[in-house]
Amino acid sequence: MKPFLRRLFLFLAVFTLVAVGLDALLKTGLRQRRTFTLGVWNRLMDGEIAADVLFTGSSRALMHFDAAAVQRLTGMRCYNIGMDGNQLNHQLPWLTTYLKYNRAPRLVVQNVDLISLVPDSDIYFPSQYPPYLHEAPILADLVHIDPSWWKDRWIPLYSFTRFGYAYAGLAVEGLLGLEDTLRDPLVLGFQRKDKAWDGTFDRFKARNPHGVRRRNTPEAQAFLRAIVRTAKAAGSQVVLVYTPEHVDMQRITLDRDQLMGTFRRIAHEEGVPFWDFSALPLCSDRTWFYNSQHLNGSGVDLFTPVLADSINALLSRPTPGRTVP
Amino acid sequence: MLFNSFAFALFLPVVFALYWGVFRGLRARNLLLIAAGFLFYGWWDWRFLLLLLATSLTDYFVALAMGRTSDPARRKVLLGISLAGNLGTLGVFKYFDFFSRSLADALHGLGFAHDPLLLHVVLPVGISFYTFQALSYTIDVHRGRIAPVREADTFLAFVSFFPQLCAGPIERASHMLPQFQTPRLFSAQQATDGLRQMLWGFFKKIVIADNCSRVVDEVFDASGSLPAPVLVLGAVLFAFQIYCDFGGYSDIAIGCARLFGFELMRNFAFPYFSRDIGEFWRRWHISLSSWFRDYLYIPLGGSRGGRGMAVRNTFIIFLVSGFWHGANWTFLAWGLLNALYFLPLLLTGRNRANLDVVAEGRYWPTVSELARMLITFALACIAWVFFRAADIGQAFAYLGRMAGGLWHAEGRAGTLDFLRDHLGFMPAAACLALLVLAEWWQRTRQHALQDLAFARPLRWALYIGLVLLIVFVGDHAEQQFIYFQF
Repeated sequence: MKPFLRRLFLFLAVFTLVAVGLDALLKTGLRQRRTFTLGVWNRLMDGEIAADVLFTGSSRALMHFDAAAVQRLTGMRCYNIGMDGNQLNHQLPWLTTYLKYNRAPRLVVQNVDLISLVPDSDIYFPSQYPPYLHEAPILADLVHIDPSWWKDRWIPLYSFTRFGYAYAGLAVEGLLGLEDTLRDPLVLGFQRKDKAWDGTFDRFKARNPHGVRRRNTPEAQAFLRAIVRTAKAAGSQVVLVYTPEHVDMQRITLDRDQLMGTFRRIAHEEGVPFWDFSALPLCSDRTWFYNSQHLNGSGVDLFTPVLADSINALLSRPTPGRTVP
Repeated sequence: MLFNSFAFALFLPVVFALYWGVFRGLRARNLLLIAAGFLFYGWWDWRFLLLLLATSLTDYFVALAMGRTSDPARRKVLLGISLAGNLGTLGVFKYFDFFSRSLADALHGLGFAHDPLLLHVVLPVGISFYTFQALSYTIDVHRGRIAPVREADTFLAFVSFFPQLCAGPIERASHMLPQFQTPRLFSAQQATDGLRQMLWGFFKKIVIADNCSRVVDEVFDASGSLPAPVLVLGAVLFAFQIYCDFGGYSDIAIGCARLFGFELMRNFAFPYFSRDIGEFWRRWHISLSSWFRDYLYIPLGGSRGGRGMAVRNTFIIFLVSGFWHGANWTFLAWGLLNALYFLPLLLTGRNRANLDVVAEGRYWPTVSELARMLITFALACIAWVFFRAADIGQAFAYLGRMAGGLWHAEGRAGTLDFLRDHLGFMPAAACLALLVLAEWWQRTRQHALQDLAFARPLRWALYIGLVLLIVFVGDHAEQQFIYFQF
C-alpha cells in the first residue's frame, strides 16, 4: 500500500505542479490582453485608466457613453467600464477594484435603468472573471450568486474546463501578443452599434399587451447606494443618469413613475444629482435606436453633446469650442 | 452521482481511504461498500433506494427459501416470485406506459377511441442493470450452481456495489459473490491499472462522447434538412458517441472496482475492430450478450435443436436485447436489424469465425481485414440510426435521405457550410483519431493504457497529457451517461 500511495502522491504532485504552472501562464496571457472586455478589465487592474470622468453601468452605459467623444467635448480623460448584462451587484465590485488600482475620478457617471433595481441572480458572460478572482469583492460577488465559483479560484485550470480550449486560445494570443486589435469593438470602453431598429421591442410588446411592471428591490437599492457612497468616499462626485429610452417602452412600463421616483429619492438622500434624459426629443424617433433600451451609433452622436454639456456644467468647465445652451 | 461530476471526485478518495485505512475487516468493508453504494445511488433521488432495497431483499429471502427446500415445484414457485418481482418492477417503471400507449394506438387504428392509462413514473437510474444482476443470482441458486448467501450484508454489497450499479457490467453472482465473501488484499498493480483504466474511460466519455453528442444532437434534430454527407457524419459520430459513452463508463467502473480489490467482467473489447457482426457482438456489451446467452438463449434450446431453432432463438435474443434497451419500437428495430445482419453468418456456420484478435502480431491489418472491419462498422452505424432516432419514421427518413442524397452534388455546399460551422469540433475530432490509434495499438490488452512499454517519465507525461486534453477539449457539462436511461 505504501509504495502505491507514495507513487500516487508523487504523480499528483507532479501533475499539480504542471497544472498550477499552466494555470498561471494562461491567466497571465488573459491578463495581458488589451482588446474586448478582458482588455477593459486588464487596463483597470493595471491602473492604466485613471479617468477624470468614469462611466459605469450595464449595457446601456456600454452603448450610450461614448467616452472618446465626451473626452473631446470636455477636455477631460474619460473611460467607460459599463458592461453588458452587469447589474448593480456586479458593478459595485468592479468600481471598488477600479478605485483600488486607479486614482479616483473627478466624476463617476452611474447609469441606471428599468432593470437596475433587480439584482442579477445569474452571472452573465462568466468568462470575463477568472483572471481576477484574487480580488476579494469580485470573488465574493460571484460566490454569492453561485457558490461553485470557489473552484475557479482555487482549483488550477478549473476555469478552462468551463470555457474550453478557445479560452486557452485567448490566453495564448495574449501571451504572444497576437490579438487582432482591429476587431476590438470597444473604444475607451464604449461599444458603438450601428444598427437599425430590429423589432425585438415590437415582439416584446406583443407578448405583453397589458404592459409590464419592473421589480424594485431594497437589495438592489442598497447596491446603488453603496456605489454612490464608495465613489464619494474616494473623493469623486457622482451623478445618476437615466440615458435615452424610447417612448414606446416608457408608455408600457406601468410602474415607471415609481421607479423614477426611487432613483430621485436615492439621489436626493445621497446628495447627488439625477439626470433623466428619457424626455429628450430623440426618444420619440426609432431612427436613433436599435431597440427600446439602446441607442444606435447615430443616436449616441445626438446624445453625447447633451451629456457632455451636462458634465461640463456640473464640473463648471466650458465645453471647448461649444456654447452651453 | 455521476462519475464525471465533482461530487464523485470527492466521494471516491474518501471511500477509498476509509476502505483501506479504517474499515479493515471483511464485514466492515462490505458495510462500507453498502453505505457508499446507497449514497452514490441515492444522490439522484433517495426514493430510488427503497426500490433497490425492496427488490434486493426479495431476492435475498427468495434465494434463502430456495436453499431450504429441495422440492422442485416449491423452488419453481420461489423463482417465479423473484422473476415476477424483478420483471414486474421493470414492467411498471419501464414498459407500462409504452404498452399502454401502443394499445391505445392499435385501438385507434381499429377505429376505437381509447385514452391510454399512463403512469408517468420516473425511470429509476440503472434499473435494467441491477434487476438483471439480481436475477442472475436467483436463477443460479435455482439451478443449484451457487449456494444462497446467508449474510444479508454480503448480498446487499453485491447488489449495490457502486462502480457498476447504474450501468453495469451486469455481473454474475457466481463471479462476484465469492469476491465479497473473501478478504480483499490491496494490490498496487491492480489499483494502478485501475486508475489508468479510469483515466482512459474519462477521456472517452468527457472528450469524445460528450463532444460528439453536441454534433449528433444537432444532426438528428435537423436531419430533414441536412445533406446526406452530414447525415453520414452524424451516424458515424453517434457510433463513436455511444461506444465512448458506454465503453467509457465501463472502463471507469472496472477501474474503480479494481481500486477496491474487485475484478469485474470485461464489457467492451474494441468492438469497432470486428471483422463481422458475430465478432462485433462478442465484443460489444459483453456482459449483456452473455447474460442473454446464459439465461435465455441456452434455456430456449440454443442451437441444439438444429438450424431452425438456432435462427428462432437468435431472433428472440436480439429482439429482447433491443427491447431491454428501452420501451420504443426503434430499439426493437435495432435488435431486428442486428438479427438480420447475424443471420447469414448463422446459416453459413461462420458466426464464430473470428475468435482471435484482428491482425494479431502485426502492426496493420491486411486489405481484406480492413475492408471487413469497415463493412462491419458501416452496418453497425446503420443500425445505430434506429437506436438514436426519436421514432421509426425518423430512422427511415434519415436513412432514406442519407442513401438517396449521398451522390448528389448539391449537398456539397451544405456539407461545407456545416463543417465550417463546426470547426470548434476539430480538437475533439483529433482526439477521436488518437482514440482509434491508441485502441488499435493496444487491441490485445484490456484497455488502451494497459502495460505501456514506455519509461515512467514518458508514461506520466502521457497521463498528464490525457488529463490536459480532458481539461481543455472535454465537455464539462456533466452530461449523463446514455445507458443510465436503460
